[in-house]
Amino acid sequence: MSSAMEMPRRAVLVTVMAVGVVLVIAFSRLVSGSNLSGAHTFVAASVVFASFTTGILAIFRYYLRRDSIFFFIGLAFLSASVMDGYHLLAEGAHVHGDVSLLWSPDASRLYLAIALAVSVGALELLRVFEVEEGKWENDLTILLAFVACGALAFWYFSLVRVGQPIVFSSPLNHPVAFAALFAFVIVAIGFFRRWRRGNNDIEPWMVFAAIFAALAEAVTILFSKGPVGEGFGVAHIINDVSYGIVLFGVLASLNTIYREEKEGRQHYAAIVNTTEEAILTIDAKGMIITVNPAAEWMFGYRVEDLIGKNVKVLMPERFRAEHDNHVAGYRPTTPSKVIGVDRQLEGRRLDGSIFPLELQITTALVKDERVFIGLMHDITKRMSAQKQIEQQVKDLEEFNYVVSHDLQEPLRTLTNYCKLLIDDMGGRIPDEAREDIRYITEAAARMRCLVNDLLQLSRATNQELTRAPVNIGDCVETVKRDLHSAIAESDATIKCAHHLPTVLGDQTLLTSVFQNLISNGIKFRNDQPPRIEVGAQRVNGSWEISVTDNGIGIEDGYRDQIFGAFKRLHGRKAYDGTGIGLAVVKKIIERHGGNIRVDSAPDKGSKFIFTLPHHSDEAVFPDGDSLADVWRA
Amino acid sequence: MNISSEKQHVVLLADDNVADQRLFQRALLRHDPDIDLRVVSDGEEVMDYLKHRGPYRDPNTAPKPDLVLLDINMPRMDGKRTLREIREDHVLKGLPVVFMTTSDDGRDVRDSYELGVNAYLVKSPNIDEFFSAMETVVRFWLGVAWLPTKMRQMEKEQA
Repeated sequence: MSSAMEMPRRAVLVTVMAVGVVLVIAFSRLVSGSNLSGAHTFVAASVVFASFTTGILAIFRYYLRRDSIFFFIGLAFLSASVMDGYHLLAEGAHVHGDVSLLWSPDASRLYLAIALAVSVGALELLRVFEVEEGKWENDLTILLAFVACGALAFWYFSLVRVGQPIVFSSPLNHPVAFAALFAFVIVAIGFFRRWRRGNNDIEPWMVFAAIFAALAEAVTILFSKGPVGEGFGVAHIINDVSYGIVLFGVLASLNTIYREEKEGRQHYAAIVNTTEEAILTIDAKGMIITVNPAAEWMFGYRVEDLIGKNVKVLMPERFRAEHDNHVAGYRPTTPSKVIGVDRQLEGRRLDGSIFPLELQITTALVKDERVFIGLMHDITKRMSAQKQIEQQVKDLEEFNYVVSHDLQEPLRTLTNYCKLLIDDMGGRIPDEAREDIRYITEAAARMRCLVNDLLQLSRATNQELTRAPVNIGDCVETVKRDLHSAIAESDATIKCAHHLPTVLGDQTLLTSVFQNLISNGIKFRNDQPPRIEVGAQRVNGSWEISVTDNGIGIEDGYRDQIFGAFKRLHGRKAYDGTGIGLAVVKKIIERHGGNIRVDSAPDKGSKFIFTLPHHSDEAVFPDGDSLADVWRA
Repeated sequence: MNISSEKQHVVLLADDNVADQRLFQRALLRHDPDIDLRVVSDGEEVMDYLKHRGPYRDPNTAPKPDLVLLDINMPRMDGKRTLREIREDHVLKGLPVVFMTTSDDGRDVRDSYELGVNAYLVKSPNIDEFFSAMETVVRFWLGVAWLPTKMRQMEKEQA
């Protein structure tokens, strides 16, 4: 790209000099009045040169960024340059007395004006109908339109003025110049509108060029009484300037692109060279093509020592064979397990040391060759931090278990000896002291509940899941048996849906889910006997289980709070308990890969809904992933 | 066939918690004041006692127990290791061993029976339940169940 981009800069200089020289010579000759024909030849030649160059460069500019407008400008000027060339030939023939070839330069100008006016007008029209610019089918339509308009113009010429020198007696006898003037005004307006909308690439240049071209037509109409009138030279000069402006505009546009590309490249180079991610590209055989400085630091090699080497030098032994398979087996059509997937691997430094890294591979075609781009991030720090966190979590869980376990002992002793004290003292114990002892016993009992619940939560969190098909109906039956006294006492009815499913999970933990939800339903009852229903339905491949009660319900604002540990919404006097139950339930459901929510309103009862995987499905257990799975991928 | 009254029963208790030791003592003596309760505070001491080592060198000071009550969580050597050592010793392996523990963890229960515990009891926080559980244990192992020690006694008498 860079050599192609150098070209416009040189072209600017060469063209400016060439056009300048031609214009100076032509102008001086026209003004002096001597050898008028020769001067005209110069002007006509420079016009051919300018329009041809403009056309070629505009097409090139179109190729770079695919802006439709340059495509039309390019084609219009290329066509015009051919006609100008013909005019130049005809002029030469005329000098030698052959008038049959004489053909007015009006043809070229009219064609150019119509082509540009049709193009810019059509693009404006597309805007009105909110059609996106740059679609090739639209471009083709516009192109056909301007070819048709051009053909019409030719037809007019061939019909009216074939082979005849055009002699004008009055300004109104310049119908062609009038048409061109009109078209150039449209061109100026069209490009001005584009300019005003913020397109200031070629647009300002085109506005001025069109104004100059229109001016040239106006001069022709007003002052040319014949083929070589008073306005003849001036009109030619103005027209030439108009061509030059477009040429400059196209060159300026190319220069802008060139500058942007260069800045962009510098920008990307800055990113690649300063990032802490190691970036390297390899070819289809695994040979390293490029390496950035971060890769140098990460692996301890120098860039020149890596380029041309097989990328396997950066891997520990055990990954090398696998890597060859990946590269050799790559097909762009089949989804790859490696491309576009973040993988945790290990890297090998020059000194042989191994470190953990995260690798992301993308692929691209560069000059028709398949290359692989590897982005590597040293995750030594992250891994050790992760290990530390895992250890801390484990310690905390251990602590939780030990604390809740070891706290039970002294509490039991406290309760037991209070009882023994009363027994030992018999009737000798004063009532007040008996009351004091009752407070001690109650406090100990309360703390036992708290410790017990902590233990329950700790188990729900840490206990290994024993995964097996579990029938929900069996769980509910177990709970009914466990709670039979509470059920009988409160006159509760527990109804199961006709067909409760079998899910994949831990029988004990899932039973404790129903234990908690059903005993909550009984505990938080209003004056009616509790009525609890367990239902299930299949939703998107997993089961949605619901436990509905007719209890006191939950107010809107508390719906999220209830799942937190030790959250109680009621005083202890009204409803006993520590408030751990729903936290345990949530933990268990989440460990089974499900989620839980509640629909409830005060005095309308509560409906707890949670999801569980179907037992025949591949269940996704969040704590079931192992690093081995990642390696295998 | 009730021979329990013919000989004073020996029960070996291992618990590191002095308060619990006292509770056991009260519970056992309440049921049968003649029970000879020997108390140690960890597994090491249990093995010393059973193998007549250290302070228990004289077999007369350390009569062979009819029942061993073990806590699981004990310092130095815990209940499960003590049980394993007892079951691996060809002289001691027939001893009835009952776990009396605070742990209601399913894993502990499973492991204990796999190691060959004769019964697993959780120390109840309710003293009345605790007492009645102890009474059941003692009545069953020292009264109802036939034990090798009992057999030896009978054989001796027959001879």
